[in-house]
Amino acid sequence: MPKTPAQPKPLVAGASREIRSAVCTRCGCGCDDVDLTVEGNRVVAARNACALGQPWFLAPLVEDDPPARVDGREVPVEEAAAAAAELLAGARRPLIWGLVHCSSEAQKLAIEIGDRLGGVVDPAAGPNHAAAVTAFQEWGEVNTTLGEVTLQKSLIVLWNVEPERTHPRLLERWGAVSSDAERVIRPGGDRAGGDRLSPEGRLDLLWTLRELARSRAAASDAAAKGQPAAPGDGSAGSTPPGGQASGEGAPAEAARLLDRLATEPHAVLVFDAAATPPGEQHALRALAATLNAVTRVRLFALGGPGNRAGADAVLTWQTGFPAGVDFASGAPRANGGEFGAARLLARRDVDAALVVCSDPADIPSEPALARLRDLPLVVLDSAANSLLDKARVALRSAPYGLASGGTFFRMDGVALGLRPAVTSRYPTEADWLSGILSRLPARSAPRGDAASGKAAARPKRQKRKRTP
Amino acid sequence: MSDRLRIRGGEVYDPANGVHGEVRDVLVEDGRIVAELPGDAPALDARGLVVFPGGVDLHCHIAGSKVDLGRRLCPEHARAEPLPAPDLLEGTARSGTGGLSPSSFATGYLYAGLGYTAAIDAAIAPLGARRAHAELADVPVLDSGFLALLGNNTLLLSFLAAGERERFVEAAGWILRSAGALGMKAVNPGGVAAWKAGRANVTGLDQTVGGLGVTARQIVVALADAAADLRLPHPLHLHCNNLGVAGNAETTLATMAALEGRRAHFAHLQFHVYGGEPGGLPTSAAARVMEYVNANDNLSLDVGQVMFGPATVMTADEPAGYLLHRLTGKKWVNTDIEVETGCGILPFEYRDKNRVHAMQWAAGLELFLLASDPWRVVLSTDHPNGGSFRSYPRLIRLLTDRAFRDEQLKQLPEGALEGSALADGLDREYTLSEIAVVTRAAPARLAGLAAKGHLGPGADADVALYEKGPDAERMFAAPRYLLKGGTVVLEEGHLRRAVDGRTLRAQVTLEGGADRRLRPDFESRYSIRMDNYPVPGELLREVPA
Repeated sequence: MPKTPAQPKPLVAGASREIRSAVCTRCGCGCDDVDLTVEGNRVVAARNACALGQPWFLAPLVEDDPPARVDGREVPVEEAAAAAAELLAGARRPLIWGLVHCSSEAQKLAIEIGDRLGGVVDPAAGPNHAAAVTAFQEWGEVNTTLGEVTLQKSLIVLWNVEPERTHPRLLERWGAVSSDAERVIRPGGDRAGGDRLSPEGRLDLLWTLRELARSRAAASDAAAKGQPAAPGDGSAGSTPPGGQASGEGAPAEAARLLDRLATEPHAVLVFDAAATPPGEQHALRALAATLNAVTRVRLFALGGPGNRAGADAVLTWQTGFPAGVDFASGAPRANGGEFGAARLLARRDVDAALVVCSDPADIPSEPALARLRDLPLVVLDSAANSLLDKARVALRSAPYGLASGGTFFRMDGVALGLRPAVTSRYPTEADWLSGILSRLPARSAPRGDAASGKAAARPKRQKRKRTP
Repeated sequence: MSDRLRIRGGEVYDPANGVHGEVRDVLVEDGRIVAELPGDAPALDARGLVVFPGGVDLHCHIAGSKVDLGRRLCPEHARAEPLPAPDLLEGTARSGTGGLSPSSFATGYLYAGLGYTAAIDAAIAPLGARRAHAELADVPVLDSGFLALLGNNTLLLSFLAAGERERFVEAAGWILRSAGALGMKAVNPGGVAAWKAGRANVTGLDQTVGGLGVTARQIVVALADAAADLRLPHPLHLHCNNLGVAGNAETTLATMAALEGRRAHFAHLQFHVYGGEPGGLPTSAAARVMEYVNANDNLSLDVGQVMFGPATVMTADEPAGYLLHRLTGKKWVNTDIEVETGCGILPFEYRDKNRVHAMQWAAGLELFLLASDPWRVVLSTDHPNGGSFRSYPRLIRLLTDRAFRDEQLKQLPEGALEGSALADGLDREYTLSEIAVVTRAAPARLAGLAAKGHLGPGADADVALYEKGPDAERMFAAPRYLLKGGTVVLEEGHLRRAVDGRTLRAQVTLEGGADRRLRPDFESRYSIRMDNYPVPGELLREVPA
């Protein structure tokens, strides 16, 4: 990396520090082999970090903003936390949205705020996340943690994804290189050539492949029981159900792909957790389950960026549901995307929002985003966020993983501890959120649930936590 | 809340201290049971109430990625049971959902609602330890910990295959210490590794695990020895090969014999006591297995009772999960966890009109009723595998009330009791003292939790008070009071104070240099750096020194 004169000098000559095994929070891979060199209060080297990780670690902290603003006016942190609490507590139905670029400790607190206020908590999770949730409910999922793919030297099937761009070290960590056609295949399209198949073509290929796999599994079962296999059993080159004998299109391609998968003892189907269209979300899960009658095929959902997997995990263990959780009735409820931010905003069903460390571009619809901008907002972020300027209460925080610690979930659900390298003048997200939480009123009687109305009868003792 | 409390005049069941229903006071000071208190200490009138130590669940699944996957797979369970936050005087009140895998806060509240104060999750991949501790921190009231899955760890098995016993023990100890685990668990030893490596399984003790050069027998013996060498409070916790398969009693008995007197705890033994031919209809061979257990006091068990109704199969035994998926056609989760283990999850339902399910139900009861030494028996449903922990009160009634049990037996389909000792009925009715043993004293003692499961001086002041009545299910489903660490958590049947639980874990001592010796083998296998594997102390909920 080129040296620039702008780098701050260490306070003591030669007083650089090494931080081994830091965790990168950028893409969801959670590479935890990043060795940092820190001089003064700045990271000057980040060994093993990729093209996404390098600029993240090496960029100087920009802390020009005051830690807190209320209505554009700089205020002390205590006052800001109180203003945020007042704004949220005064709302009929606040939305707590985002939870991407922060630790799971902060995510826990954000969910608790939603619970306390009878609001809605929805982590930013990408346009088709609700479809991923329902596809999982429908089919289950055969999947794996990252390292098993490496250990089993699995055939890597990239399903309409380009990890070289989105998760730059993933293939390297799987012991593969992009150009190795023996190890890495792309049935949905070439990296260079873009999408080869239309969305309809991809869906057709997946379901055709699954039908073939089903008949092959049935044949394999029959063989195991000593029965003759039925004709059209899906063995290589045979006629798929309802398909043509051979030739162009999905059946022939599916047969070739099935042959490839069935001859590999291990394969991993890599797809995008949140961008994959609903039909393919279902088809991939159905296919992987069926293929396990023949060979070991796992799914690997590319997640991230950031700590989306953490938000998903914490929300699920605290409420039973991974996304779009509404606490208005006094207890969590969720139903696919019904209580997702986009739909609630579009329906004007929320009247204030707490935006936690997430890019508003993750709101997938323009009317919903417009509505969000118009709401009374508390915005908390360590990074630049266009909503900060719109916010009634704008709170700046120390970037997690760089200037604050806590827990980060890799996209495969493995939790790692962050190793902060520098110090920030801003509070951490967890500090801000616990500051807000401690200033909220006791739980109110749930709306529309008279049976539990006595919940508010007795004031609760509030634990005052550290500032803010 | 006072630091002192005299629980006055209750009928006390504290079998660990030889107290079997005597009317006496139980004295509490600073969170512990004490022998004496000043006469003017505040008192809780317990006259007419039965006084038990807090319940201890030695084998359940309440945390970790597998439970989250179960919640995600079956949101219909959560949706059907929204649980508003309790009305508390102290502690954080959180809403949640119930069903078979209640949300974290609800799990704590619901266990407290049965008089339980400690629970051990029986299957956590050490790689997922940080996540499990983070989740258990959100389970109030219960002191909790977990058993770490070691029986298919290919790093450990490579040492075993190479005959490097010392390195095997040291690595096992390092993993347990890093994970902050209470003990070690083996699930289908070698079978999960075989499934991950090539859709295979291990069905016999002397079958070599594909590519690894070790047998299930070697794994079981080596882990049982390692647990002793590492002075773990709980012996090897073992889920045998061939779970749920007809004829698996032979495997179970062979495994027990292979231990040659070493201590071991057999998990959910009910699922491992079947006669019949492999591939055929299973029958109950519970009596034969229990006869062996009765004669060998190195062995203990939890029953894994099946309760009729919905369940969730949630197991590290991936081949078993796959078999059930193929058998039932139900939706299925299979997660491979690098190096260590995997998990299989699917929804299930035990029906009293199904002959196999009825046999399983009966086999569990046989184990309870034929046990000569309840101190080696633990009440469990392998929650949520055999049914929810919330069915424990009903299970207690089945054990204490023969007339009730016989009524249930009459509902079973013809042939279900073939070969079962229950066919002619079994007279035995558990006494309240025996219930206190299998739900408190035995699990605490077997887990090495010296301050749990009893009411002697020095014990944690975890005390459950029930109203005595003819219906044991009603009695145990609704304690009048529960104290946790001296705090009155439950008052007049209502949850009032949700204290935080503490982490239950083993103290593992290793010789210096263990990290250095393990590092090359560790980092050539895992996808995380060894530095990032240990769970830091601040995440463990310990008592401040």
